[in-house]
Amino acid sequence: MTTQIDLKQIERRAWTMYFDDGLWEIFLGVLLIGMGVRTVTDNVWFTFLALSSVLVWPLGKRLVTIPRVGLAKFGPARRAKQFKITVIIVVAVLATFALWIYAANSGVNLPDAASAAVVGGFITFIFWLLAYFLDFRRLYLYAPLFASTLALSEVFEDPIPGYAALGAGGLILLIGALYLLRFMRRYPKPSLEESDA
Amino acid sequence: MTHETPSEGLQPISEIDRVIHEPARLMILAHLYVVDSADFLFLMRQTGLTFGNLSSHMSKLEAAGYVHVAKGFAGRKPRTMLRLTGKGREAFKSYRQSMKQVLDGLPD
Repeated sequence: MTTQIDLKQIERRAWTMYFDDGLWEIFLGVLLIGMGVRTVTDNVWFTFLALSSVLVWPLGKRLVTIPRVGLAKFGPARRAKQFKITVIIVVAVLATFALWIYAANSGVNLPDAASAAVVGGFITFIFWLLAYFLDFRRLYLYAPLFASTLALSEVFEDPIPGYAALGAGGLILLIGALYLLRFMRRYPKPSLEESDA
Repeated sequence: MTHETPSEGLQPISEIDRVIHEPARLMILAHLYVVDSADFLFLMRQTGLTFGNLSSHMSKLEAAGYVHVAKGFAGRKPRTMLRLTGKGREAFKSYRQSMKQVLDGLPD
């Protein structure tokens, strides 16, 4: 028996298990596909498809993840990181809103490429911050993919950005679906006795 | 028959907490140490123990006062949340110290 009980690794493995269900990918994939379909069809009702993506995570956790792997409440260090994530999201939304108002009223007209770089860079940065605080490494890869589809709308006319969003969304959704299948195989539903314990 | 007292170098070994010094219980405590609380299923998944095995070890840990078992409900489904007591946390920390001493003290 070794005294090398790596508690940090145990905690990290427990935390990251909750990302193995692929729900983040499914959420991002549905969001991008919704945005893509909205852009390609120019039908505003498809905005609801994009918005429906916010249901993926809570429903998935409740119906799939927690019944299969149980529930843990993590300690103060993790809770502090989760608080920082909330702050990041709030600041990102406010900053985006403020920039949008400024851009609309300032008369500043950036070249398309510069505009795309600003949009892409900003979104990538926010996603990377989320990846860091969530300890969710796959998000580092999805960030530029997500950001570039949005940045394309600064350079190209519709429906090209729409098709890009469909492509990226489809890819991320497929990855999420594969993760979900693997998760469900690895963690089958427990017996009644085990789940009621 | 006289009891031989452990020689000085082996003293720490005899003081090791035997409740914790069992691989399955050590794993359970290590997982509970790094979270605030967790339910049975989470511990089963993390430790790889069967339900029966985990129950048995939990009983011993609860009897030793190291684990608090809180039975509640999540909606209509029963849910049992487990967490280390203050005594359990201290015992786990002491155990790690003791083991470090024991193993560091062994000759090469």
